Parts: sequence; structure tokens; C-alpha cells
Amino acid sequence: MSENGNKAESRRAFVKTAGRLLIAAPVLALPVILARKTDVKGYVWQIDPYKCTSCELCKSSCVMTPSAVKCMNAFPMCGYCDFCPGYLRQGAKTYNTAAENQLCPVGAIKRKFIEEPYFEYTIDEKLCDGCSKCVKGCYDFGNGSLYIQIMHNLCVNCNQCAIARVCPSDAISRVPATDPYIVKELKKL
Amino acid sequence: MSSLSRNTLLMGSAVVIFATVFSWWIFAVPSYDVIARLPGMDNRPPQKQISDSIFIGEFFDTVNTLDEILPGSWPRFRGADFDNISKDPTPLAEKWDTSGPPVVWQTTLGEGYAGPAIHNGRLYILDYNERRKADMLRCFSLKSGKELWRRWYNVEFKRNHGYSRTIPAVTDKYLVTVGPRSHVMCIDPVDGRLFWTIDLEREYGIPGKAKGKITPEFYSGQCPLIDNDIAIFAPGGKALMIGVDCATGNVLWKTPNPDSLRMSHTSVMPMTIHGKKMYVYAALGGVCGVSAEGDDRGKLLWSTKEWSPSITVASPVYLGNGEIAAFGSYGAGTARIAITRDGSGFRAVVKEQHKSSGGIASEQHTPILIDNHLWAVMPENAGALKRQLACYSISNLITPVWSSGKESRFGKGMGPFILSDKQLYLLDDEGTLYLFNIEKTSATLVSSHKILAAIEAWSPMAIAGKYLVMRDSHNMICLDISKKD
Repeated sequence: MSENGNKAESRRAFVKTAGRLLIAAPVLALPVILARKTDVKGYVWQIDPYKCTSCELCKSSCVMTPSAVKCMNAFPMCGYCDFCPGYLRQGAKTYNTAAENQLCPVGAIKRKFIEEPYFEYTIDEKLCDGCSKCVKGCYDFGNGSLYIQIMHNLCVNCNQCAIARVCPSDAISRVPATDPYIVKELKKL
Repeated sequence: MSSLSRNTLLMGSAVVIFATVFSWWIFAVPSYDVIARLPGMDNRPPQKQISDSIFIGEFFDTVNTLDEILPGSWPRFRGADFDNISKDPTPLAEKWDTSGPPVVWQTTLGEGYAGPAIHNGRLYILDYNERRKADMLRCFSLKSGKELWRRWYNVEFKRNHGYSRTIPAVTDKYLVTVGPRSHVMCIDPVDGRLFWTIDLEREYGIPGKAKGKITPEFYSGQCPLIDNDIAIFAPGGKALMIGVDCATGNVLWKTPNPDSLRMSHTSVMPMTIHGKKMYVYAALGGVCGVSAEGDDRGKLLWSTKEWSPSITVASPVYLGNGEIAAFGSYGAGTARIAITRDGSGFRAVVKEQHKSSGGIASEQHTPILIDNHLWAVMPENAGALKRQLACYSISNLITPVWSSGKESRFGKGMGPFILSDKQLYLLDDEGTLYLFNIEKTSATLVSSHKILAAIEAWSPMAIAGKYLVMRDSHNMICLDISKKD
């Protein structure tokens, strides 16, 4: 009898416990779920080069000095021009590597002769401060192959990116860390 | 150690350290890892004159015969009156339905921006054939788009934003072309017979001199001009401008080039200023006017070096009252040049100039002047007005009287536009054609249609009769824009 009674009690206790657990589980899990949803792990900040307007705020707004934003060259798009509007300042009378002809204030773009009339333009990331002057020159008058990206070996991935906060064209957003760069590609017809 | 001697020792040490640091600060020469940026760091070898021998106009192929001579003519760059306005009486559609204007024919071309000239039912374009590596003047039937004949010659050069550039000039008797490497042909526009040729680089270049090079960066974009059977070119180098008799190929006059002005991408524009007909040319290094009539034909009347952008593509426009608007590319903007005349001759002064963001500007296409107002598609770097169609009074080139608005921008602001009566056709870089109805100082967008899946649709358009001909980098298309009953 008592055995049966104990069995009945333990069944009741089991149901009670199960009920409590059913109610408690979502309550306990909710903060974890919310925390996971807002966790930035797995995401990094990146600039969409198709939205960027080369406003130069990336240079001054980044918490890193110099900025974690650097210029890149999409070689399939580059015209390899002798007169490169991303390399040469407006009004340059001669097309060569003299400082007075260069648009980049820190000399971060390297120009290398390939064959007449083509030149390869590469970026010295150590010098580049992300000012975007070359990006604007290339976009305005050239093929738009120069563009800026947040370099993830330098970026500290702030919870609220200081550049994203001031970007006038909303070009900066989080992207999956597995695909951290938005590479410019040649337009295909 | 007594406290006195300890204090003395500490004080002495401090003095020695301070003296050492101070001496270093005074005498040390501060140095940084500065790398001088000097010419030649790109390892470019000295440029050599290209010594290939080119037999200009060597080959000729007949392909078809002309089916019909249609009315309508667009005989050169910016049309018969150099204003980019078609005066053809054919009534044109005031708007299009969703299918857009009908396509009459379409053909493929070599990569480039060369535009068509149309005369007596034939359409001419100086194409570049990449397989044969040849400048190829191709003649098409305007009606059917069938190719009739080709006059061509091998000339090798590397793609640098495409290959072809210019628009031929055609009259009833002569057709003149300028190739990307400054090779000139004069032929019979009907049967393609070769009359004469000039290699401007060879004839007028000054080897070894930086300013003696004829063909500019990105190759020659100067469209030839035929004026009373005289072909006009502005090579720079040994001669600022030359006049060549179309019948014989003899050089009738040469303008000296004391300021070493160089060939730009603009074209020679005839203008009559203070009663004198002259050829105005916006060269690299300055703007000049050369007499186009009378005994002093070919004489340099005036020039100014005050306006000298590094690249200039849009040609100058006469604003009236002795004033010219000259345009510079790559953000250089626009200059208003005043020409004055007194007993001693002509003089040119830049009255005002502004950057592209400070007033009217044009990257490639010459603005159109209508009723004392200039119309242009503003370039990418025109600030808030970038890539908009804008209208400026000739009395104020700074503030527009109308612009299409920030919701109406057109490609990268480098596409062509052309006017017929009150209808302005604007093609954006990516191949969408817009039809505007122009009022005196404003425009209304009436229709638009995607014509070409294009990149770099930069060539000037042509209107002849009921046809509008345009191209992108690889395709040429002929549309029927006539009014339908």
C-alpha cells in the first residue's frame, strides 16, 4: 500500500518537477538566447565599396591611428593607365613619380612600369591612412578599381564601429567573419 | 655616507643626466626615414618614337552595294553647324511607349568610342579591328545597316580605354579621318578611293622633345574638319594648325607653334568673333584662335596660356559678345575667355574660371548652347550637381538656372546628348536613352528606355532623318525616332 502511495507521490512529484522545468527552461534560456543573438562574434565591420562616397571620414574617425581602413586595387578593373587619376593629382603636368605629381599625401601608392603605356599601381598598407583621395580620383575619372576596406589584421572590431557611426552613406555594416571583405569586381554584361 | 654627501651625489648625477640630455637635444640632428619621391621611381625606360612604317589606307574591301540614298545628314562631329543640334525637318516622336523607339539595325564594332558621320544614305565610322590590328573606315547603309565597304590599314597599338576615338568629316566630295595614332586619310566618300594620307606624328612630331609628341595620352580624339574643301588639323609639334587642300593633299598653310601647344582631345571649332572667322582650338598648354579667312589665313590671331588643364576633351563653345567657354576634364572645370580686338589685333584674357564643383563643367561632351543657355551633363565631381543634366545662362556660368535633381542622375556623367528642335536625347554611360522636352530654361523628362546593356557608352550620337545612331564600347545601334501616325 505504502509502496503504491510512494509511487503515486513520486509520479505527482515528477509531473510537478517537469511542469516547473517546462516553465523555467524558457525563462532561464531567454537571456542566453538574447545574448547569443546580440553576440558580435562571427561578424566583422566592412565597407561596401559600391556605397562608399570617398568622404575621407574613414581616415579621421577610426579609433586606430592610423586608421584600420586601407586602400585596395581591384586589378581586373584597373586600366593600368599612364595617366592614372587615382595616382596623379589634378593638374599634374608630367606623369611620373615625382612627389609634386602624386595625389596620395603619404605616397602610399607605388607605380611600376610594365610596358608602354601600362603601369601597375599597388598600395603600401603601412603608409596608407585610408584618406580615400585616390579612391575618389579613380572613381571620378577612371575605372573605379581603387577602393577602401577595413583591414581585419588591424581592426579591433569595436562593438559600435566609430566609422560606421559617422558614415554619411551607410556604407559600413557587419559582414560574416568567414567572408570579411567586399571585393570589387569587373562589371559583366 | 653622510646625508650631505648623498645629496651632493644625487644632485651631481641629476646635473650630469640633464646636461647629457640637453646636449643631445641641442646637437643631435633629428632624422626620419624619409624616402624622397622622385621622377623615375617607376622604372619607366626612355620613351622611343614608334618606328613602324604604316601604309595608311593600304587595303580596301567591297562588301555590299548601297540599297537606297536616304535624306538626312550628320556630316561631322557636332553636326553641320558644330552645335550638336539637328535641324532635320523630319517630325520626331514626342514620347515612346514601354517598348522604346524601334531598333532599325544593330552591328558590332571594335572596342572604342568612335562616332558616326552620316551623308547621302551612308554611315561612316573609323573603327578599330582588333583581330587584324587595323584602323578600319567602315561604310554602312544607313537604311539597312549593311556594310558597304572598308578602307583600312594596319596599325598596332595597345588598348588604353578602348581603341577608336574620332568621328570622320564628310562632304559630297571628300571624307577625312584621323586615327587614334594620328594617321590621316582623305578618301572618296562614295567609292572609298584613297586620295591622300598624312602621318601627323611623323610629319609634325619633334623627336626627343616632350612637347614634340603629337598623339596625346589615350590616343588622338581630335575630329577632323573640312571647311570649303580644306581639311583642318591641329597637330601641335612643328605646326599648331595646318590647312590641307582636300583635292591635292597639299598643305596650304601652317600655323607656327611658338608656345609648343600640344594636341588635346578637343576638336577645332570654327567661330566668327568680332567679325573675323577663326578656328578656335583648346590645346594642351593653352587656347588659341587661328585666322580662317582672308590673306592672313592660318595666322595665329591670339592665344592664352592662362587656361591650361592637363586633360581637356569637350571643345570650346562661343558664347557671343567675344567670349568663349573652354572646358577642362578631371575636375579642372571651365574658363570664360574674353577675346578683344583693337588696332593691333586680337587679345585673349581669362575672365573667370571655376572648378567642376563651382559651376558648369563637362568631362567629355561639349555643352549645347540653346537660346543663350548652356546645357550639359555635369561630371562626377560636380558636387551636389554631379551627373545631373543642368542648364546655365551664358551670363552666369556659376549658378544653374535648372538641374534635373538628385533623383535624376545619368550614369557617370560622361554619356552623350544631342538636340533636335526641343527634344534632347541623353544617353547615359550604361545605355539608357532619355528623352527630354526642353523649355527655355528647364527640361521635362518625357520617356526613357534601356537601349544597350552597355559599359562606357561615350561616343557622340548622330541624327539623320528619322534615325538616331548611337553606340557603346562594342555595339552600334540605329533607332527609328520618327513620329508615328
